[in-house]
Amino acid sequence: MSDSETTVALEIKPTAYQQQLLDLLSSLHLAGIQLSDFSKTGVDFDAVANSETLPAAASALRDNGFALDCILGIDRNPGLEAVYLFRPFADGARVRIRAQVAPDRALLPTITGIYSGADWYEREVHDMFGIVFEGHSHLRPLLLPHFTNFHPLRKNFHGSPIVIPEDTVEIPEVDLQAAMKLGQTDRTHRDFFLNMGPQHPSTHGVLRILLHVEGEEVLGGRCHLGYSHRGTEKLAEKKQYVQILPYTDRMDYLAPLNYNWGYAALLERATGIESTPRAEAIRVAIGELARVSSHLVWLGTFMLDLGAITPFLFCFEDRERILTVFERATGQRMTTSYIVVGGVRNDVYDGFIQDVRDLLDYMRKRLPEYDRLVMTNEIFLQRTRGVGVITAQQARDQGVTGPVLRGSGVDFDLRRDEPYCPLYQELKWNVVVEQEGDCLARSRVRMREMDESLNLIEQALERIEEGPYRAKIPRNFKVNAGEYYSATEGPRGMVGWYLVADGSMTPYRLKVRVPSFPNLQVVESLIPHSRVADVVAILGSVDVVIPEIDR
Amino acid sequence: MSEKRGFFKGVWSLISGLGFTFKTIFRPTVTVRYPKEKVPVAPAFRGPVRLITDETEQHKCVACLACQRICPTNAIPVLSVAKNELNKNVPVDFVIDDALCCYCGLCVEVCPTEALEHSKVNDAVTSNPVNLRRMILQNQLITEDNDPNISLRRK
Amino acid sequence: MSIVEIIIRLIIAFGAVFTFVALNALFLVWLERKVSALIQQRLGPTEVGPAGLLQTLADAVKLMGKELITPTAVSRTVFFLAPIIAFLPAPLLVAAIPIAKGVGVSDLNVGALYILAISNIALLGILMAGWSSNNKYSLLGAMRAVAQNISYEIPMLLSLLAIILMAGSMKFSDIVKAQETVPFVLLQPVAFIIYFICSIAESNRTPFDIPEAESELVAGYHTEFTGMRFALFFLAEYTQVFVLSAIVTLLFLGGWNGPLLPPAVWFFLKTYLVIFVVMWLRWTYPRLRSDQLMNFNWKMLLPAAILNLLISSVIYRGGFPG
Repeated sequence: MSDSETTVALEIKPTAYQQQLLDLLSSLHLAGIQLSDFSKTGVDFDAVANSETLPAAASALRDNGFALDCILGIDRNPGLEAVYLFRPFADGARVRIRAQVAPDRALLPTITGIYSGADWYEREVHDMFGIVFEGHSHLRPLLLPHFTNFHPLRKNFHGSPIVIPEDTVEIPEVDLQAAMKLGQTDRTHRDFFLNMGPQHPSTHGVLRILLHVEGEEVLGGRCHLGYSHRGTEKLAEKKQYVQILPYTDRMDYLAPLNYNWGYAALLERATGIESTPRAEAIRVAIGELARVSSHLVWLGTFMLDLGAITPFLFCFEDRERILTVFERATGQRMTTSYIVVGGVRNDVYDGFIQDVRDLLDYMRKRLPEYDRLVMTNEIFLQRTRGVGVITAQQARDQGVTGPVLRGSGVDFDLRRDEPYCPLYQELKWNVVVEQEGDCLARSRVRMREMDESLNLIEQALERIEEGPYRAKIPRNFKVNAGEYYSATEGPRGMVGWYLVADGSMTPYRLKVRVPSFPNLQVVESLIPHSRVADVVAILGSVDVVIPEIDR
Repeated sequence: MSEKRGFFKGVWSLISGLGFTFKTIFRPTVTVRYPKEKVPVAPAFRGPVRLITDETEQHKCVACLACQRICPTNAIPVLSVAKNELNKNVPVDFVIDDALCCYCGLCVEVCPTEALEHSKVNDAVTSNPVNLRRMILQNQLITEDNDPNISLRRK
Repeated sequence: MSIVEIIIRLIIAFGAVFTFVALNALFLVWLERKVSALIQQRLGPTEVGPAGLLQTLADAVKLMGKELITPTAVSRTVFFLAPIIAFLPAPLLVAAIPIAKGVGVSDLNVGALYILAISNIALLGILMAGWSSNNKYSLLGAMRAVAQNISYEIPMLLSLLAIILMAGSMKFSDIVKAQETVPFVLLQPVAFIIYFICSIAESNRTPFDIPEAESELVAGYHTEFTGMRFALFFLAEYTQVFVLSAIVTLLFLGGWNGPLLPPAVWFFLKTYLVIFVVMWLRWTYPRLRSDQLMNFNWKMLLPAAILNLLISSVIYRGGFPG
């Protein structure tokens, strides 16, 4: 074995903490360990694993407090590659582990036994690239239909017409139900399967959950995704960097601005272009407004899930006011395409600051009303307290981020811990954390986050100084060959962008790590032994956006 | 003891919620009675794209095809070019398909002669998809008037 | 009374009851829309008729015009009968409610008992609907409805007993007469609260609307019903709301007693005020979970109702019945 004597190639002098991690990585029999410049690539450590060293490395990283960010595939043509991204919450140090396989014999060991959150990621990589993860308990297609025999993100796939074999449509259902019944054979006499979705009032889009139910008690459930899969990642490989911007709007329809921002931050990291100070202040103001509007939709729909209709209409009225500001500032209410590389698309209009101030005054009056109507309501407390508890360790294993993570007592916010905008460092605000990990804690995190966002907006408005709103850059730029990762904090959590650039005007591969993906995955492990009504409450409290998951 | 206090607190929270909804009964309504009342359109609004024309129906398009190239959704299916008498490129056919357009505004932004603009129409409707393929040289916008099939009641 | 007279009376009674049931449902749906609109700062129906009053009529016409879809997998006879049986108690209940002294179809001397007995027939219709639909959501909804209604029946009955104890009669006109000086809501506040909560639960309204919990069970037991069949469930539900509110008025709020205005006006004023409160609750609260609902009933309402009955029998009857 050649990797027993690992070589550590260092371009940068490591700090003590980095040295400690380097020592850890060196002890794991990994090859090609590298320390890279975080500000340029978004990754601190690089290592290459093979199928023997991978599980041990993942297990060692888990023991050292690392969470699983993402697993993605890359078609190197020839040769496939699975990239694992890990990150500890305490300190910023992203570790990238690559595992290369041959396309004709694409086999890797699963790490689902180590990180439960790897489950869906591995299934997705299997869908898209055909890498088989040995030992995975149910490597069925996740985003694609169950009959697919092609791997769309491979470079040799060009979207040929798909033939649906008619005879196989019903079979997986039976298999699935049988698989779900396993382990519960003693109570199979009174149970049944309940199909929640794809058309259901409270699945927030087209999600389908197959519930295994006994009376009102839920024994287990499986999520079925892909009903709004649009192949954005494949599309991105055919489009120029500027042309991808409108597609980022459409991933998360509740917070398009945060997705615009994430994409802009990625390209800024990749090209070295810096946005102007005026643009940064505008970004913070409008990005936090988008966060408030997204949280308002969450509050409204969550209350709708719990059976209260009035808060829903109040929330949407408030959101309407925010969207009106968006329309005036960006030109569209929802598909904004506003935040671009080097700044923002167009300067804010004259009365923008006054409009937002009015909005802040209005929202400051409004939030205590929600506390009175919703957050202190005894029925609401009964429905949410102690329901769907996610422990901190579970949150780490599943890789959840955002308010769901902070509701489980983990103090982690990318705006503070992995700064992608200098203003967040300078402004005064707090990261909201609640300890309990139940639906109530997640709700409280979001309610208090809205308050913090309002503070941030108020301070950012004062920082909108004179100057250009957009840096001078060529309209059609190229990105130097390399791999870049950038993560921003969306309303639902970490929006990660992984870009493989080949020096041309189009990306070689663009992967979006969406926050709802692991956040929904954790629901699967929360629903056993709850009630049908709790499933709705849990689903509402983690706040998922299905088109974002399906991409 | 604390459980007892919790009970009364719970009951009070329910009464307080009732009080709040009672208060909202007397607040003014926020409904905009569209289509009787029009929703204001922001000046920056990105509506269907059209050519800017002056009074003499002149436009500035030089048929450089930059808009067609940058369009992420290929919503400009036809843009054919010819030379005019001054030996300059002019468009002879310019079609924008609103069924494909995603109103991102990249074409307006990329236009070197600033010949394109967004119209401020936010309630364009049609019941005939053919109307969505607009020949914008004729400055054709979808409005109620060009489609007899629309029955949008306005008083 | 000659046979002819009986037949004429019968026809008038039938006509009056059915007209009232229909008109009341139309009005209540309109009221519900207006109340929710007011609370949510909206306008509600405005287009059809003055202030949108005829909107519900238009909706009713629409429902009548809709196709009656019978899914292939349903149990046909039961599916056909279910909405009828669910609707049947509605006119029967209305018939037993006096709106003023001597005004009403009939003032039974066991009126209170009759109401309790008849209103449970609707439950059979709901169970039949859920069972015959061959839909898991319908079945869950029907099961929830039956469990909830049967459970809340008990504290309801117990608080009703306290009133009967005080009035010494089950006849509504006697109960109202007993309240000429002081309405029972002041003498029996606990019974009033328990009875009021149980009425909301009996009529399956928020926060006790778990049988129809839209976000969980789509539409509960009437998921598979369309057109007039669905309308019958709807009609039954709103008539039940009226009946339960009317009984609250009769038992606790002094019925048609009141100064100046004619008795019937007082009765309707009080009843629709109660209905308004019921609607107001609906547009304020989220819904409970099924197990919490049961806990609330068996652990809080039932003991409170028993205690209330014991205490009031000691106070008002010196511990000896009769």
